[in-house]
Amino acid sequence: MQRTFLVARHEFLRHVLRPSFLITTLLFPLILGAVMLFMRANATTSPDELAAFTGKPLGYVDDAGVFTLPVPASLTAQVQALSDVASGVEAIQAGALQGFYHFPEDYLQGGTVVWVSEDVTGPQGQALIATLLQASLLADHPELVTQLGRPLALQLPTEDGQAELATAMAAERGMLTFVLPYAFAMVLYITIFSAASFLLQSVTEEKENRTIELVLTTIRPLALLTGKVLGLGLLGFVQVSIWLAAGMLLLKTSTGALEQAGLAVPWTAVVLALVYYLLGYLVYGSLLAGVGATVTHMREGSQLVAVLIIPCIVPLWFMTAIIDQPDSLLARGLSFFPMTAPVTMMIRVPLTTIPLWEIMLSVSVLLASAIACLWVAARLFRAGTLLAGQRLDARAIVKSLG
Amino acid sequence: MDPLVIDKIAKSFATQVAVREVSFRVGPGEIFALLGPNGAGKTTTIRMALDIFKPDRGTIALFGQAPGLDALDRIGYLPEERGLYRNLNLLDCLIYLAGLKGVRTSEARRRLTLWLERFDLATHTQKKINDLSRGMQQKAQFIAALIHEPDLLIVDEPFAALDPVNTRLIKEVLREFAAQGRTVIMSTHQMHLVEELAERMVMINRGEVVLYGTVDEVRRQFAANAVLLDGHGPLAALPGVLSVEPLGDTGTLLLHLDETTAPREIFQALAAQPAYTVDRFAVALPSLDEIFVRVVEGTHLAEEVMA
Repeated sequence: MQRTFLVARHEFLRHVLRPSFLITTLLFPLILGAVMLFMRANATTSPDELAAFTGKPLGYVDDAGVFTLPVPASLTAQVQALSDVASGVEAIQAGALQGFYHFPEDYLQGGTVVWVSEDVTGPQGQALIATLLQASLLADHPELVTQLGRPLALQLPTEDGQAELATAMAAERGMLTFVLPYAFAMVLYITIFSAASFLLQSVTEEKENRTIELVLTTIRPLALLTGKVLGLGLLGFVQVSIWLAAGMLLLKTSTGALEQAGLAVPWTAVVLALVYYLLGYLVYGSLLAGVGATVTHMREGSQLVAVLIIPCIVPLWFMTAIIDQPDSLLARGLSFFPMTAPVTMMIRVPLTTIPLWEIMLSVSVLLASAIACLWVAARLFRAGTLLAGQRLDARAIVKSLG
Repeated sequence: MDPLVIDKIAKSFATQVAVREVSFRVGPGEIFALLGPNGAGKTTTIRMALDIFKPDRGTIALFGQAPGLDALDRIGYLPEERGLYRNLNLLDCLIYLAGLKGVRTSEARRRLTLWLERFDLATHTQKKINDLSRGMQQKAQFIAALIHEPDLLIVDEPFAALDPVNTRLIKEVLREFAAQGRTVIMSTHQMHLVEELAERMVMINRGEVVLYGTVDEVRRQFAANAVLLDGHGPLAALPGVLSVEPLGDTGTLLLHLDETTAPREIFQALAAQPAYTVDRFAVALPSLDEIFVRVVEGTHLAEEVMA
């Protein structure tokens, strides 16, 4: 037992101090943060946010005569009707305008609109302009205009508009329902596989560098493997914790209004993520360790690993279906199959309240498979270890399990 | 209690028989040589003794008990296929390996200071294993094999990749080791080192024991009826000598005797020749090298005849 911990400690320290591990672990949240910042800066879907961001209004030059209605009073701060192109250019140069859309005379025939701006970020506020245009074109059907205008009006930031804000949150919650499961699934997927492949690497490394022969005279294969699984599992645990913490922090700072709107950061999801990480890692880690035991070189192992990854990807394939109906038979089924359970559960957890029995069942299945996998891996390890140079064929594998 | 007793073990792998039947015993405090050509089954035998493989048949006793971790902790092992953790530095690597043998870190550090000094590795402790020369790596592994002060040291090709200085160093350590009442099992192809170091030996060929006993016995067993003679003066004919063959330009003569004549009788006959002065008289024992080649080739020959 003492030596199992020694192995665990050794494996953990050896990998945690590797520059590649430190870089991956710390760089990932940084990149994620940068991406989110970039996306926010370039979001074109919500014009109010954009106008707030740049502080400059947009304009349009209507040579086609399609804007029959004036800009609503509530939007004049953001959109201005311009008399001609020259005045628009002037306004841009004066810094009073972010840019403008030029609707040429043949717009209704050709459908071409020109965006004029000094900015390099491309057309801004397209949705806003499109809505205004629609309103004008549908001037004869006021009820349709109201219908079209509603989502836009509801997203307006007003001094006292609590009602509007709540609706805006609902829209954002809609985005979160996609982002959260996706983020959890990816974090889990990446950590499970990075830790599991560290395990594969560690097992094949000792075979490749021949240390294994010496090591096996000091410790039982099962104890050695358990030590490796523990050490590298802890490594992944540190990684997943850092990523989750960073993700939570990012979510909090970037969407400060979240908690105001009553959408609490899903701590249960975080706890479950850690539990499912551990179990998922144990299953995949032992499977990969088994692979490591049967192959001579890392190269051979990588091919087999590619096959093992497929079941883990399955939930990602069905992601949209699972997100749409997190309680469907498909989603539940995948939650009870050990190789798909961790990622599936992580997609479902932020979306729905999963009954306790489902969680218990899926955790038990995972735990049982993890132990079984570890046992098999240790048996294979024994048989496979020193046959380096001699391929371990199917018969030898079956024999060693008997 | 004998450190190692091997009784009629056999082991086959999928396509080949590695060990057909091997038995031998290694006594306490001796340096024992395990010999045989490549692929004879030496390494497989060692691995079975170390409980890395289970034999298909036969029994192995380590210090009087079945192989297990308790017994294995009393054994040090230098495998033929060398290996250390390449990305670790020398000191960390050795401390880890010592830890796996149950030596605490502080104790390991203390012992390592002495050994690394003695093996001229003290200035390289912070270097990565990968950056050490082959000879240094081998010395490091040798240290790893004895850092826990084992009662039985099994070394497979301990002299490979070593220069004469380091070879001498390893020989010294092995002798010291045996002098402390500990046991050494040594597998090597360097026969002159076996003659120099080992008291007893076993030779395995094609998975079977072909020679077993003390090194002297084995050599005598293979001695042709001949004597080596150095001296000066006129040498008269001697009774029972079939032929006299000069060995190169050394001045040494090889005297082939007939079957009924013993070397002692020749010595007496020489003493009776006052004109001839004897500088050296020795029974012509073949070197282990010669025996090795004869045994291995003899087996081939026998097989060809059978075929």
